[in-house]
Amino acid sequence: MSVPLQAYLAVAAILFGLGVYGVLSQRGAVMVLMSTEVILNAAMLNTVAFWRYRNPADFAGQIFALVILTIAAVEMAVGLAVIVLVYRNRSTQMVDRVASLRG
Amino acid sequence: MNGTLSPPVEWLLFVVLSTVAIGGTFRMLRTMSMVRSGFSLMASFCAIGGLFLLLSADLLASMQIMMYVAGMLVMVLFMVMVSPDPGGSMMGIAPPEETGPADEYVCPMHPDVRSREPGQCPKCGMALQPAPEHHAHGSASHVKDHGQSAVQHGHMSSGMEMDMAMTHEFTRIAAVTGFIVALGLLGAIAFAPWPAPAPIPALDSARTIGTELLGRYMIAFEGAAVLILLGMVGAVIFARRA
Repeated sequence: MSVPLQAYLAVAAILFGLGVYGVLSQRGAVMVLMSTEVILNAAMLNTVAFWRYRNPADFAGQIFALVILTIAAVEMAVGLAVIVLVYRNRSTQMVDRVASLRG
Repeated sequence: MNGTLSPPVEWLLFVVLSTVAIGGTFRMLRTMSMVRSGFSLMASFCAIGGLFLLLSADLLASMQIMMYVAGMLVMVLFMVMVSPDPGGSMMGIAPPEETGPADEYVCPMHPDVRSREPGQCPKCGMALQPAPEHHAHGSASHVKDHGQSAVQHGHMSSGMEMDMAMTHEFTRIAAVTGFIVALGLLGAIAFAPWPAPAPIPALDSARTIGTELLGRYMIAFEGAAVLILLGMVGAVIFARRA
């Protein structure tokens, strides 16, 4: 374990910042979804790094990361379903074209 | 796995994997091609799986790689379905040479209002301004240099009507926000006291996780199962044809 905990946390922080930028700047709904995946991955990397460096005997950290992975999968499925619904009604996937929710 | 690595090898692997992880995400946000951005993000997530391996979370690493390879392929498929220009080829075309910088005029408030000659915007009555010049390759640096003109980037100089820009006019605010968030987190990391690494116990992590999921963390396991079921039912209800 020559790589310190801070190095992993720094990578996760940079990924988190990039994800925040992506969620705020992208117009395509699929791109926004992918940026949220980046944010979730940064959180997961943090969780696993803390598990490894703080208390590797207790696997709660990894199980929490598994729950995050589950949430990411569910979010992807529901998000893509919403995108399909919006695209069918509006013929667009650009989020700034869907400012109102009325079909 | 981790116990067998010498420090230089571990550092090398860490630097390579984190470079791929950050670079892939960066490229995902910067490229004009949505398909390419999907595959860049897939590489990034696989690299994060590699970082999990470095952290001795081998089961999680394999799940991460399996899920995100499949997930990003699905994302790419959906992008091809719903995006007007998934390959980004229309944005990569250089404008014709005879098209000067002030060949086209655009309303400062309504970027989709474009005209061949100067005049007033039909929507708000403001004077149209010359459109910013398009560089030879519809590159990411263009969006960076003219954060405000990012919307117009998707329009070609020929006045194409399709709205294909990947980012909107708040790109600069978004970049500043993301930068501040990352900087704040990095500052917190730099100034907080961190513990020395604990020795890894010789455990079969897949077996241990399985035992714990069916024992102490049964609630998390069942909750995840219910969540996935809810997600599937919700997705089917959303996406079905009325």
